[in-house]
Amino acid sequence: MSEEFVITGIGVVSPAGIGKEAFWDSLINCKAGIKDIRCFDTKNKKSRLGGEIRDFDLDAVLPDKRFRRAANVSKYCLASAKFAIDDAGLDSTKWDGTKVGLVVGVTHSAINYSREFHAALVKEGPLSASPMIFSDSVLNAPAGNTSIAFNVKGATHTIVGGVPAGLHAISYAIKIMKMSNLDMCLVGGAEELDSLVFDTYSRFGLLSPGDRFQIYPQGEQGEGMKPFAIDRNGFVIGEGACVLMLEKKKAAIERKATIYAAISSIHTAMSLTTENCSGICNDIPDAAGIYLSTGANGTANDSTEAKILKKEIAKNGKPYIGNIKPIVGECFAASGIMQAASAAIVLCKGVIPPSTIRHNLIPEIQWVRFNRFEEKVKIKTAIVSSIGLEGEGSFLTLKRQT
Amino acid sequence: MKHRVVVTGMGIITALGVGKKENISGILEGQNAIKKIASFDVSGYRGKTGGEISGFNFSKKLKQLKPSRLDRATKLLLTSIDEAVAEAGLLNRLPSNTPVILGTTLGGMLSGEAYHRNIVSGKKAKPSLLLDYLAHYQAIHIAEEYGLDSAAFTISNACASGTNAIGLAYNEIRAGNAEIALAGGYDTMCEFTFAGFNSLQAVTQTLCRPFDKNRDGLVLGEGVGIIVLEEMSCAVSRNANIIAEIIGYGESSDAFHITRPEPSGDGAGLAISRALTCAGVGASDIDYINAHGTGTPYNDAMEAKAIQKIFGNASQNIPVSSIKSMIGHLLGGAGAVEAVITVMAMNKGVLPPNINYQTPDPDCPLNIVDKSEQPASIKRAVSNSFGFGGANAAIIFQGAA
Repeated sequence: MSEEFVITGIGVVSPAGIGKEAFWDSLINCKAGIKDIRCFDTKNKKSRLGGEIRDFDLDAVLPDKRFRRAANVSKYCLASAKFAIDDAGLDSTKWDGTKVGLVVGVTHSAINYSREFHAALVKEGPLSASPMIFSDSVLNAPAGNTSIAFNVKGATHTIVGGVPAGLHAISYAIKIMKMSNLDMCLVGGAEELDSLVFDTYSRFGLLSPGDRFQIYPQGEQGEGMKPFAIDRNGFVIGEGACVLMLEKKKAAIERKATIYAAISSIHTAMSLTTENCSGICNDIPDAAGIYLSTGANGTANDSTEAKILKKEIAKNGKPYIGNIKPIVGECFAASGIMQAASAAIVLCKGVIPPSTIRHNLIPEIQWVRFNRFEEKVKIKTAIVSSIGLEGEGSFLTLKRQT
Repeated sequence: MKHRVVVTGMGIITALGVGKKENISGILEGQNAIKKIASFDVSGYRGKTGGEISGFNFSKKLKQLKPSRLDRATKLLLTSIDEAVAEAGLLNRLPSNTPVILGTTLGGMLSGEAYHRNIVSGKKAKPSLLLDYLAHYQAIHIAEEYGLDSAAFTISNACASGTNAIGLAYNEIRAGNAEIALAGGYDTMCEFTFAGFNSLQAVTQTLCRPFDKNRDGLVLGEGVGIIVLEEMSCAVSRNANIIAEIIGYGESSDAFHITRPEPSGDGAGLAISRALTCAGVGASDIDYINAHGTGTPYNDAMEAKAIQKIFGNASQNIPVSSIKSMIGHLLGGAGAVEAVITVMAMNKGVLPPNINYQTPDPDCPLNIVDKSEQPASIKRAVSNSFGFGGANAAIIFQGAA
């Protein structure tokens, strides 16, 4: 891919902070945004924790009445896109929209609205069907709303996928930038917390279960996300959005934009194995200069991810390892983009947040470097990994530019 | 040097039937497949009709998947993919690195609906209904069944999804990232969407009559269209039957409204002009336009404007039709099914008619194909797709000869 495209803007709306600074501050201080869920009742449920966003007001970020009744997932996406555009020092009212693209990855999208629309239909019949809720319940509503808000006319896409949908969206964004010769492309992932989704993953035994009568600190026995741990018992569900501004490197340099990182390569496969991921990190001679932004979420696939990384990288030394999920929860399609954002900030700032992966780890991951405190290191390469529940996934390689 | 991309296999299911033969004969004869909806009670709705697939029996023997765990959407897909792959001569020989790229708006919504209906009514809901509900699972299941370990992409850009999926596959092969790709679109008839489009008052209470002055809405349908795309020299070297060539694809977005199209047609026009530029052909090189033509007042007026802008004077001569008049609007399946029909009509040298067209609309001064079985020499054809949220796409096919 020859580092043709670079990240010049980052926007985040996460349970651990609204905005890039607040998000980074939570990573540096290991401040988890995991809370007792309030937006639906968790009484009589096996788990109660979630990466819930509170005190978020779209009006404070984007005062526009057209989006006041949009679903939360759209609002998170809109705010993140606004942050990313501002962060990149761009102005959407001035750009030629036909040269700008947008790709949003979603997993469940506006599931609250879908559920509400369908529940009214079942309980009260056809006359209760709300056109307002229907039009904002469709899978591509977050992308549609965001393209309208920011005059995106080059191409607007919604990629549906599981946990790796965010990384899939980045790979897709690069494809459409080349295909339609776009100057820039907003790429993001968005997800909202919902009781039906929560119950479903709980029924399938994928949510980390808690003891209703005893509250344990996270990272110890009980409910909580423990990526790569021997006693991992599932994930904690999260919500939010993250949007990156991708630009052609040449144009970004010309306009003197801050370049967080360049997209070096993306490897995607239906079923990731140590065999079909061979060579994903071939150009990295010294692993000490690598930061791994892992996607492990406390499920069975954590060991697959660890094995692939070990086979590809361990021969070159010890990379640093990070995992944002104990801080923000499993935000599905938004996760991959949040991971990429954290990795891009690591590369740009030369600072590595304390590792959230520490205790009781599976042997396949014990070869990496775990920093207990934040470290100032000029990292050259970051690898962002994400594996879905069906074993599908992606590896994204980012390179420092400064 | 960009690679050339050809079509070597196609599969289709619509309300007209299962398979290419029934569909193309039905379409070219101008058969109306729209009937009163039978799969759920429509007494409370304004519109009552749709293009439902009746008598579909899933008979495929599965190697990896369990039929009881699959949504109707996946069963339709598996059937169509078999048809397409068999035509391409790749049955049981599909290379494992073949990417699957599908477009949909609903995924396995029928299963989701059934599950949620039980939850809302306080009944027991089978968790197995959720195994094929989310919209990316159909592509995952296809990859599993056919042993494909490359990427499975699901695109959901409303009613443009099917064309986007074929466009992405075209682009992947063109750029040298794949030699063979499986692409298409699908959606099923479910009450969720039916209620939604009714609430938006977008559904006709009479007939779907695209571009007619008295058009008053769309009619929903269901179905699947699948295309096997192949790099030309790869197809030639294995002596595959080359059905058509894909020569251009273009896309854009409106940035206008979440359900209404941008009325000037500039967004749609940009997608068409990008497709023409990509193909390196001019407006006068196009012999047929398979329109998005939903039959809603907004879409058709906008599309007519876009066609006029891009094709200029030629827009009065180029035959235009929308097959949605016969099979309904297949949402995520629309672009894919229309691509299959466009290619078949091109090879047969017969124009698909735009049935129910009676009164010309001065706002849509196009050469609408108002009679069936009209022969025409179609060398190159454009197929348009536009969707909610302002997604626009256009793709250009060229006869294999």
